[in-house]
Amino acid sequence: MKFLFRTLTRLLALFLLSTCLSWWWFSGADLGWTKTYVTIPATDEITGIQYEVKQEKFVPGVDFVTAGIGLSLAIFAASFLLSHKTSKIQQT
Amino acid sequence: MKIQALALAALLSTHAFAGEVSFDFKDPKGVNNIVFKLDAPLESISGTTNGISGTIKADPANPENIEGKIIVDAKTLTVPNPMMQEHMLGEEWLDTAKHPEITFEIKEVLNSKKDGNSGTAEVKGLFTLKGVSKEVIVPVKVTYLPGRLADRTGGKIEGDLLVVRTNFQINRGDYGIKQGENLDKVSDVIDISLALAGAAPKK
Repeated sequence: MKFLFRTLTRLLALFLLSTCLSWWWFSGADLGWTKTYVTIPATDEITGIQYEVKQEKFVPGVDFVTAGIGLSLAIFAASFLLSHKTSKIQQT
Repeated sequence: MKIQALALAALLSTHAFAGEVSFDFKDPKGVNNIVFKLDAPLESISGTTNGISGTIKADPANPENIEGKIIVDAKTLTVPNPMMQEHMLGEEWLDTAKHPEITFEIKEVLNSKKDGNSGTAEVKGLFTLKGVSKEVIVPVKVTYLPGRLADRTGGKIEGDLLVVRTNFQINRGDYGIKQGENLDKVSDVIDISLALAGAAPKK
């Protein structure tokens, strides 16, 4: 039972880490902060003014990756505590 | 005697502003925009705003004869990161709750050069940010588009357009925005680019 708990927690940490890294990588591996919109350049035909049209889009940045790695590490670390506690309970 | 003096003053003022047209810079199309950029060693910040209003009275035949004020709703300044935006508009930085407007008031036009319907000049004006006003001189390019408002409104409104473009820099420290602080992440120099079109409907 203790092995199952520990394995499941570690798998969760691995899943979280891989999801977070893949999401960031396939969204363009942006090295800036996380964005909630992107801009598309456009030009007004009459005046020739160049402007940006905002389009809502979630682009994960380095803060997103850092938080994801941190959370996975915390879950991975917690897996050691979980297995330790479970084995103690079973011994008594 | 007093009536004669008043009549003369009225005549002179009418003559001085003959041909003057008032252009409204509130743009329902959302094309008018201001871009601001801060390039610090550790972080580059870029944002925009479309919350622009104001009027400029200009005489197309006489580019030096220009007056007006451009107003930006400070709360409409946006950057792509929501947390950064919250900090930017907050009390420590722009404090938009207390200072909701950023303005530029034209005082004087210098070194104007006219080339057809376009012209360049240096505009001396009063730039106000976070309640602090400072006199700045900015290089401006102006293009007058007579009769082009109809093209922009699908023929609904006849009138003229005035396109104003400028690029200038300010130092945030001069306007009491965390002077000398966080310089590694938030540059002191703010690069500002404006591209605005004002409309003057024919009455």
